[in-house]
Amino acid sequence: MPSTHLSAPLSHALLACVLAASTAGGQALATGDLRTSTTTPVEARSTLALGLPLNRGSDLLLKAGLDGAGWLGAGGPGTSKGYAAANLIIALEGGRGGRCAWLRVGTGGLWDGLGAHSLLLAGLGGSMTRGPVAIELSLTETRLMPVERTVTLAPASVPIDTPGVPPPAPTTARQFVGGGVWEDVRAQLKWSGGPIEARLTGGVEIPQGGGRATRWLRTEATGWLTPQLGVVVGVGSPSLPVLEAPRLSGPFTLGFRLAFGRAARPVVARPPPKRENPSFEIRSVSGDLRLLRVRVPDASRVELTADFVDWRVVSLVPAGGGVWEAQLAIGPGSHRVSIRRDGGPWAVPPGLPAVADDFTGAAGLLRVE
Amino acid sequence: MAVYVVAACSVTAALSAQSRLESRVPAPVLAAVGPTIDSARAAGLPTGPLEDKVLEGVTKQADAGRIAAAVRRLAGELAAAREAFGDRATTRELVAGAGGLRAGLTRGDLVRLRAARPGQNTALALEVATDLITQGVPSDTATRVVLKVLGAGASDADLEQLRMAVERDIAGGVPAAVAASVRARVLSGSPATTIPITPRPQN
Repeated sequence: MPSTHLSAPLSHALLACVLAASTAGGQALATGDLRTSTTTPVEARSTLALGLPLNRGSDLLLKAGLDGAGWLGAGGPGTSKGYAAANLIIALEGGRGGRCAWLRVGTGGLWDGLGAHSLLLAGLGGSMTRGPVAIELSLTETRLMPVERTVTLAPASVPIDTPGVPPPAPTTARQFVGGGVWEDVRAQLKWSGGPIEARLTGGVEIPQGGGRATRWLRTEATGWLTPQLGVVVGVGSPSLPVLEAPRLSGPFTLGFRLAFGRAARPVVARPPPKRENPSFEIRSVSGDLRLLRVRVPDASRVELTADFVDWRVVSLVPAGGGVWEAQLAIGPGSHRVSIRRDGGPWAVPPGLPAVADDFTGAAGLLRVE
Repeated sequence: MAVYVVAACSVTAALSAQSRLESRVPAPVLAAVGPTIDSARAAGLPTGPLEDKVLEGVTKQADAGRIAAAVRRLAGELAAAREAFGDRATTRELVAGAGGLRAGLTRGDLVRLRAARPGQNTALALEVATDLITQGVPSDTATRVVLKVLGAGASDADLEQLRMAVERDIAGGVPAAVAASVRARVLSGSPATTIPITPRPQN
């Protein structure tokens, strides 16, 4: 049984690499992460999931999937040897703002000096992403089943005063050792910038029925040498939760990480940075009538010309704060727009991408839905 | 009788266009662009985009020679688009095709994009490909991305979603080509995306 469980997480990771599912209008993903370090010989996790948008055009995705995790330790006597678990996850993920909430239930096994414990997990959590930063909170209850052991009890004394009577045979007893229930509160702050990914993770593990709570903290950085291969360095507190791999040597970690299903950058986990003061803005008023606003500070006069005004010159009105605006009929599609300030040359409006222009070099490209 | 009606409509359109330009375009510019517009009309090309180009040039105070060159160039692009799409192409398709050629698409790209949507309007696919190029996606990548999505049966809404998603990713700092390629894989249902469904339970 241990060998089956030990191979399960690794086969999970490999299976996730080659499996793919596709649903019309939905998303499918398969990722895997395999690492080895000075603290843990082998650590693996994988995810296989499907997601469907709640409605057409919505950024909300309902996702369901499986994820697996496991590690092989090499700790000394009294430390855990290995862990593997598989979780069923239901999540609701919002594209804008990168918000996600999830529920998970799982089962697995933990091997320590006492034997193989089966375990059950149940938890909930949420995360939010803003630009390169992601914050995550989770609460998990773990039930570790005790291990049944057979203990041999030697007789208290051997009578020697009755020859021919054999001494009493040793007796055996069955014991249940280990096991317990823990609540795990965990928080993580992650930052992703280019080829560098850094995490700060900490939490509190609280055993039910009394007992000392374990507080722990760990920080780790991954430098991605290629989209799949990274170098990991980290440092963590000496005390760790029950399901964390025991450290082989000290609080420092140095290792390699192999990720499957990972692009060069975390492409879709990062929404664009929110623009507090957009340079160019267009809002729908009614039908094709739209309010167009452009930020041109320190201007006395701002004019606009575009295909949607038949290339006539339209004067914008000041709306305060350096913003100029006009209500115009703008149909859906791509439009070329230019503005000029104080009667100067026509230029690309701030905030719009530039396209080649036959007369002034560049014009702004406005896309209206 | 039908011939007279068609001829009358053509004359009316020509007169209407002429009056549209005459009221706003200086005579020297009209003289410079007139032959090109007339040739385009005779060739069955839409003249509306050409007139728009004239008006744009006048508003931007370009000289007559520059305006005429721009109109000739656009007429050539419209003709190339019509050659790629056939005589049944709509004005929007021709304009989108001309825009694509200007942005860097080749005639072969136009043909492939048209073939990816037989019997349907190709304008939006062309506009999306052009928009991607405008945002920094290499033209060959943009074509490949749009073809991939069309090959997976994408609708107009899917194409719009692709364009918006790539724009968001690029604004978030993702390289343009990477953003376009990954979004195309997501929309076409290909494996190995990077959307995290849940945090790693042990980290």
